[in-house]
Amino acid sequence: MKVFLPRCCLPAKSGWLVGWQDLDQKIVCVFSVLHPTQGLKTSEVQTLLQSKLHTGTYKLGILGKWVNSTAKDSVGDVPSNSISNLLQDCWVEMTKEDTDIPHVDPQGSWNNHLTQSEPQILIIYDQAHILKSDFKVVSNQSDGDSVNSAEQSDFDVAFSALRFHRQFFEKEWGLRLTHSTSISNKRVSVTSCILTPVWTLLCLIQLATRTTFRICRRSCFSRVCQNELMCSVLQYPTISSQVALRIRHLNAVCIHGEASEGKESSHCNDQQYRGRVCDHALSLVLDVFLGVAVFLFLSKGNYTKKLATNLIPFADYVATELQDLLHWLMGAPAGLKLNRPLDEFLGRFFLYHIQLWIGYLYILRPYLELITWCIGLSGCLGLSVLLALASDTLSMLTFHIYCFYVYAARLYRLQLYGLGSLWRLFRGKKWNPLRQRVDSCQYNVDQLFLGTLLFTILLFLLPTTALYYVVFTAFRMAVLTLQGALTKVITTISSFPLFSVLLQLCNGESMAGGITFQVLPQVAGRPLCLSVQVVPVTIATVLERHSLQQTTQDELTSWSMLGTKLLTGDLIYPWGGNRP
Amino acid sequence: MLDRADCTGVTLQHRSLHTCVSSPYLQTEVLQTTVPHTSTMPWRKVLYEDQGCPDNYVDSSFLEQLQKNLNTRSYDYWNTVYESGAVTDHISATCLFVVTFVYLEAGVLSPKLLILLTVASCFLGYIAYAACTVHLGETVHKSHLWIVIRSAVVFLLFTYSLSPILYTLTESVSTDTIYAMTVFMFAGNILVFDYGTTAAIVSESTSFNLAMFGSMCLASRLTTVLHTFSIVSFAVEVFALWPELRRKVQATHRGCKMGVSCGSVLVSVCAVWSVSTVGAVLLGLVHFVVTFLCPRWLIQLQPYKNNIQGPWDEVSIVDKM
Repeated sequence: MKVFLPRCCLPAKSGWLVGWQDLDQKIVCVFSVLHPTQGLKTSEVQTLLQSKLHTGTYKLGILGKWVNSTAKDSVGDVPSNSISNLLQDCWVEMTKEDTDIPHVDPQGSWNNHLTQSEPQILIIYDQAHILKSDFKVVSNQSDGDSVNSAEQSDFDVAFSALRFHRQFFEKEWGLRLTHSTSISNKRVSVTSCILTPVWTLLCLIQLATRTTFRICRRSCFSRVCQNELMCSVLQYPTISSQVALRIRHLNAVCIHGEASEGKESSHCNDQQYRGRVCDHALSLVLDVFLGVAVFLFLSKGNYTKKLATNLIPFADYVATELQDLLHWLMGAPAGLKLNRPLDEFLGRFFLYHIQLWIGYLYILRPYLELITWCIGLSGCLGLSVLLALASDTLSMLTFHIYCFYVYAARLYRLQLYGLGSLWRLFRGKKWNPLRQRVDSCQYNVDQLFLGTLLFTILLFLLPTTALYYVVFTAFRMAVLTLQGALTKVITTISSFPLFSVLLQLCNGESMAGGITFQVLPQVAGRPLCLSVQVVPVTIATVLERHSLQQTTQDELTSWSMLGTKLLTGDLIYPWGGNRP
Repeated sequence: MLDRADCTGVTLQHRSLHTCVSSPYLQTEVLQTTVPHTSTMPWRKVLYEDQGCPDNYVDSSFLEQLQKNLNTRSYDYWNTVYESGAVTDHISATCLFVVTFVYLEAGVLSPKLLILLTVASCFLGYIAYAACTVHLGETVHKSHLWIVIRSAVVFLLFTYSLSPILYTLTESVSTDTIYAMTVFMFAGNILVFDYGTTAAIVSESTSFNLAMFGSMCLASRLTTVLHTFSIVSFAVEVFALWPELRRKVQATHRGCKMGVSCGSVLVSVCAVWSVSTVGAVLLGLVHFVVTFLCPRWLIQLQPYKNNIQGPWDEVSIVDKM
């Protein structure tokens, strides 16, 4: 049996315990102590307990009696008959004597529910803190003290009951009640000073987007999104996936607008959901703000033009460097034992490709300035869109490196697989795909001869192919690293929970990071007493928990997978999946 | 367990345990004989019955089933010498191939002549093979000739088409590396060659592949396409066709086997003599050791054989079907 008692009620005078209890889960959650005065009217108590605000899953009631023997006053054994209909049939008597820890004595139906050996746990909590923590208390940080994971759900239940009856604490009842009262004012003032501008902004965004959205949704957009082929094509350029993500965020904001006009959702979920929507909206706004700033900076300094004019000489320089490198590879680089005919063949093949690439650059030259200006302009859609477009442009400009990489990797992989199966033939074995194992096999002499002939040739040609593969994979990895860094920035921008971070900075108490328990010194004959404290959330936790994109990728496996793929010559991103 | 195995047509034999010193069973016996077996019933080597003794108890009756040197064969010296001819034959053939390569590289032997010799010996060899088959009373299928021709076409076609790649293949690799590789390959070939025994190390395909790999390494050191082609064809003849023919010929008559072995030893020693005297002397020594000393050694080592067999051995399944 767990009894939740507010800290402020400990020094209270005798009275009746008001709160909520659950017989099945054996939870008694005391909200307040009602002190019966001379002129106590039944109707007032009735309005307190049966107010429309308090009906629902968690029903309020009078739980029992609070006796403070140090205060030298008494309370009637049984409350007046007139309000006995408000009494719940279970009854708890709590008596406070000399020590801080009161005596808990369950009576009535409680005795049927409790076994003799059932431990009584008294949990003392800070009402103000619990109520302030708007977002769900995640009690995963029980510091040191022994709290079972099964019990944590009880705390959640009790505290959500408490938060459910928030209005109970915010309203003046005209009765003598002991509970914390100074919660509401500060909370409202601080939260509203953030919330008000955000909500205004939200309404503006909604107004602007909803009309365009309705048009778009009816016409092509939904069809494009539903078409699987289009989706699979669109997911490869960074720009389209980024725009799609942003549209999804915008959509989430709009849908919330429509939903909030309709029915009210439950309070707790609503709080979380609203925070999420605010995150989306503010991150959009931040994104666009940064993007416009970058665009203004670029256009003011005429940087786009400078970039475009410098890009072509740079690309030419890269092409000449590549040609030099290929000529070097066609010699005997670093004294490696290469096969000269194959080496020369591959070198000429790649040289021809570089020629093609230079031609492609000359075609691109007149449009390059326009392209860079467009990239700058796309900053108006957000910095992340700008960066995504830049990343796409980078992959277009390094298309030749990608081609080289694919050719080299394919050749290398083919050779490796050939060598693998011919090595089995060399030992008189073969791969049995039915049993997924290597079986011994009787080959003909001509099969053996051919196999060995090919094996010898492939083995002695492998160093040459591997060299080209290594060189071009290194290039590809460099480009991918650059793109990966861009993607990292894009992801950070588009998943940055600005609203939550602001909320944490301004009003950290409203976001609970967890709860800790402290065992109070035990007194013989008294229940075990725990003191609950809410741990304010840290910035890191906020960033992790409220991030707009959940990345559940296992770093280690992806790195080891990348290594295996590089070794076996499998193609890495984009056809392979993960981006490094 | 034995009964059940017999019912299914399978007999279980205890495989011999070669290392008696390191046997853990015997050590447990030493440790545990102090605990007496008190029951009146005779002790059985089962764990599923409670016989009133600890699980690791070993009775003194345990070693009664010990058997020694169950499958020992006694060797006749001259018979062993006679059978060792298979090894000398193969060594001779390998040496002959190496000498041919030396001649080709030195320019003494022209590749055209080598091709001619190869083709001629192929024809002669096939006729001899057919004659031996008839002599042995085996039926010759007409389709066999077609299979042989098809194989020959495959050999010649692929060898000829891939020779241009082969002869530049190891251009940049050092000659010493290639020679070292070849030596290892031929040594491996001689080691795992099928001399007619059933040991685990014997693998016909691996030995052939090793020989071909070595000969292709050698072939890639030659200067023209024709040289490469001729040496690879010769390698196929020496390592694929000659062992077949040799086995067939030697199966016909005991004298034939002696003759072929002596002939090939003589030819190989003479061929090596023309290249290097030291090599020839060494080869002669090797032949002598393999033919005369190794059988003597084998027979002398027989008394040291100490195999023990008993119920502790793993069962080996012999299929009666």
